[in-house]
Amino acid sequence: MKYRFLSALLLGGLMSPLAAQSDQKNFAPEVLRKAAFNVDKHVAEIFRNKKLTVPEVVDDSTFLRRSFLVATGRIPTLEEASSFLEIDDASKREILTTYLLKSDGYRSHMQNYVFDLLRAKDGDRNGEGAFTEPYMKFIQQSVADNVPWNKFAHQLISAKGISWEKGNGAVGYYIRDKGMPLDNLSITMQIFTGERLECAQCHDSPTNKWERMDFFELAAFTHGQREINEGIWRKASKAYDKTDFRRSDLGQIYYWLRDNIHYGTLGGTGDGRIQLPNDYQYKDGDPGEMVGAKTPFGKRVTSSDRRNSGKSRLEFADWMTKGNANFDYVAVNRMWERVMGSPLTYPVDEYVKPEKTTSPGLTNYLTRLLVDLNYDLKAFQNVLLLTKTFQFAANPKAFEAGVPQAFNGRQLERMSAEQMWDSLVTLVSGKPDQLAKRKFSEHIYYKNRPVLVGEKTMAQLAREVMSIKDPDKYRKFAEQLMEKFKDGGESAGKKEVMMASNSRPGPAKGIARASELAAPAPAGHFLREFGQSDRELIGSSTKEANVAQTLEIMNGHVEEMVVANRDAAVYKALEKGTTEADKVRYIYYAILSRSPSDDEMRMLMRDVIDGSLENYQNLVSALMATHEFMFIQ
Amino acid sequence: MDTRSFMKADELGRRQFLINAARSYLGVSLAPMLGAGLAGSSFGQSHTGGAKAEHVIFLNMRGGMSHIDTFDTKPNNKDVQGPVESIGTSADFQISQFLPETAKVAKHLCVINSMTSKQGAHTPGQYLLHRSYAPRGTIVHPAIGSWVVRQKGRKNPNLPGFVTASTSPQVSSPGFFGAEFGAVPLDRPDKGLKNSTRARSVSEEDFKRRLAIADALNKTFSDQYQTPAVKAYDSLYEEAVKLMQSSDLKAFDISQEPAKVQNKFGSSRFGQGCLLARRLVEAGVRFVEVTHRSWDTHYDNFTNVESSAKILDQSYSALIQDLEERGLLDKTLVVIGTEFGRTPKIVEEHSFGRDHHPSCFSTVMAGGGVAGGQKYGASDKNGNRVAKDAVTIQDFNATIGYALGIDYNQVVNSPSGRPFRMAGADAEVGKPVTAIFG
Repeated sequence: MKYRFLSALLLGGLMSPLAAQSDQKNFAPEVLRKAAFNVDKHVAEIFRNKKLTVPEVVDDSTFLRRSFLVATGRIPTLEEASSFLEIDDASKREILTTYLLKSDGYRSHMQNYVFDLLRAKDGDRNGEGAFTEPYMKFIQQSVADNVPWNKFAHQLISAKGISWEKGNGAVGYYIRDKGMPLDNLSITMQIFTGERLECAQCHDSPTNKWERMDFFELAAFTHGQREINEGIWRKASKAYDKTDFRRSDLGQIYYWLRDNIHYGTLGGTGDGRIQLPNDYQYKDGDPGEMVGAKTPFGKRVTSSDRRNSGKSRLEFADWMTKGNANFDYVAVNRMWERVMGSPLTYPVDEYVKPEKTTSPGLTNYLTRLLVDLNYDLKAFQNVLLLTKTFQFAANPKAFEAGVPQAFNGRQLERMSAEQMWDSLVTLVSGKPDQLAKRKFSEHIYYKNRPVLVGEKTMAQLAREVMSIKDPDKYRKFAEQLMEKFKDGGESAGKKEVMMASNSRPGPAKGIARASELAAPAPAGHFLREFGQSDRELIGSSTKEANVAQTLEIMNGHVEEMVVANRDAAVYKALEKGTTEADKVRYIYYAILSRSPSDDEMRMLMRDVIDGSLENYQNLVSALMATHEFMFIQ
Repeated sequence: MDTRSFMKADELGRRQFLINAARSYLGVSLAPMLGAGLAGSSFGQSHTGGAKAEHVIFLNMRGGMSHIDTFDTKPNNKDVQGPVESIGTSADFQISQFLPETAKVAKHLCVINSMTSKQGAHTPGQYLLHRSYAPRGTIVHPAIGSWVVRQKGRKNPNLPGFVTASTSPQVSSPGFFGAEFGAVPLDRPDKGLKNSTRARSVSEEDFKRRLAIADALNKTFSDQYQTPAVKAYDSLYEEAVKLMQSSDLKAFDISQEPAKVQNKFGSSRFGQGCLLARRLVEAGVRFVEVTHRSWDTHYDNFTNVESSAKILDQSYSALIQDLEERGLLDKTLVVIGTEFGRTPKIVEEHSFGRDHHPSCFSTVMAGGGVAGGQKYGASDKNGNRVAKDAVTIQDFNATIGYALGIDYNQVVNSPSGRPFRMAGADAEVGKPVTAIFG
């Protein structure tokens, strides 16, 4: 048993198929272990100073379940649970951590996190949302490659060009908020620097330090977001009669080009200046006055109000991600919350100076560590997962006001919607990390059919369209394209076309990890009922209870997908166990990642289990309805 | 060991176990429901008056209902009116020929023809209509239904306080109030409440057995973690079971209505929603929203308004009549809202279409203490601008609060400490239109 578990780890048995070309160097285990030790030293000091009782370290099963849910967003499979619980090895916790961070489950769970943070949504290739596909792919691949967090953020903020260009999906960050660049800026500041400027968008903020002028000086950096070759589509399409045009064959090509190509481009590189709005109401500026970009804190970067800068998005990205204390702290605080359950300081996306935190020593150590680890969030989380602090038992009273939550034992919390769903998926499929993934395609799809396969990719087509400056030429191009699309393109081999037809791009369907399903899931889906974010706002996911959830557990998906599904992986427990007691124990492994207590076993043997399948189903259903299943200890 | 025969010997014990454990869930010792805690409305009520209404049925005309072709006709101005005729009503005003049944119940209605808004696009317009605030990228303001449940509490603790039918969850989400005050969304009014009946794969005995086992297995955990979140699920399992067994669940099932009544409301999704709303209100649900789409008549306005109005006319008149007959109209405020009206200008090249027109449009209120048979406010002769007694969306929502006797001005802070109220932001805070109440 031990052997199988260890060899699976050493061979990287479940390594992510997406994570082939990680550009992170691997940090030596000693380095990570030492850092974890240092973190614990700082935490121990807090407990000493505050005269708090140091919490117990959790037992193996709690550690197992907690680690799986925190690192990979799902419960362990029956196999994983029994392998871990049934070996006796002093280093098995560390081995488990390595195993989890190597698995595709890590990528999946982290991808959910970044999707939420960026409010990333899937769009339809047949509508304005076409640009989202390269954007979603960009995020998926960046997480799989474990791109350093500062580099990732820099790519988003300095993005430019055509989203379909290979690896250039980052422009989706701005296009996501097309038409509302000021809101986009507020959001950028909140998620990456932990400063809240949304009030200052309209007035000097009474509750924090920002003035309206600060806001516009910042907005100047990202001002000037235009489509590449802007206006050509309008000029070219003007030649046609409006009412019926849209429905005509040619009109459909035009609107397809608008939605699929033009919409997903970002020209310009930042004006570095912006006009104050017409209702500007303070003495430090006049309505309509042009102001140059200026950073309100950190390193001073400015730009002229006389001419367009041409590089201000890049300057803004540099300022934000290089040597910016805000950026570093917010990333640290986020990762601490992600692993430990609550942030160092509340709210997670508000910058706090180290000296104002519970332990300036710890805060400084952690921000330095992030920099030393080259903003490698996986390595950083690895360090935290190796600490004793991570292993502290949940404190049943941690929710009470006045208790310094980050350091008084973990708070009990409900699984997120994604953790719930992915755990269900785990109980259905024994190989939850190997299910269908969302797909990206560089092929051109018109009306859900691949066209010009082998002849042209979306990127090539987009480049051609962007190079046409003359409306007459555009019209000719569109007419030719219409004819070509009708043919479907002949240069490709049959096999290639077949492959493109069978491998449609977009999210997965059915039994797949939450990260691979449509983002967000449609209204009424299990994920939404359990509080998945609608991806309209940052942090709009919720773990709040409602009656639709309990109805869902008793009578909906849990019953249909797992309990009544005799092929569900959880029922492997019945084959694995030889005695009734063994079978019960394995069902416990699969659902709660632990053995039943003596009391529970006695009660179940006396009152429930009679060897019939119905009563095993009753047990599975009951265990999934327990609080212990839904909450992370 | 042959467990099976061992178990048989202990059959009696197992049955007893089931009986004992089931007690806590299945009726005998139900703890106070979550809703009961909310029901006692202890909020300060600085504004008296109104306060007759106990329920709201919010009929959302999504897409922008053409005021000139429905409730604010201009019979003497053919240029803006086009081919639509006006007809007399049971009150002393006229409405559109597209609403003949509504005309018969006009004596119960207060038509407001002086609505005005600054939001000329659907999404922000619907957002404002539902929340009294313009959308911001950084917060979601609670929907009016969530405000009502929060301020007024639930009436029937066995049923949710806020239910929506055919309404996008985004439009009516509880925002920063959280799920506790959110709507239970029904995709289809004719399908009732999802998952509220036992799955076919489970016998009743097994269902009870499962609850009993879960209850027994929960004990250690619940004793150890007495947190609000854990307790919330305890209550919600009880609530769910109670709901499943409750005769109140019937309220969600419109097929229980006599065919005659079903026919009266009509077989459209909207008609079914109206019937559902009536049933829910009757059973004690506070706030029900039903959406009627397809009012976005840029193209071929007259054909499209006629078909949308036909559905509205049948269902709405049936709803008003039915509430009245059951003596529910007095305590149920029924509102027709929309994000904006449509232009007086008829766009010929769009097959006689009308575009968005937020500066002047119509809404209707009835019941809940509103005096019927009246018009409030007026538009100019073209239906272009408000001529008298302008009513903003914030005023409209404050009026709903006023009718219910809740403090629409009470400030509730978001988790990040920003102050919000039902009647909207300081600069444009709504005032109730008290003149329309009897």
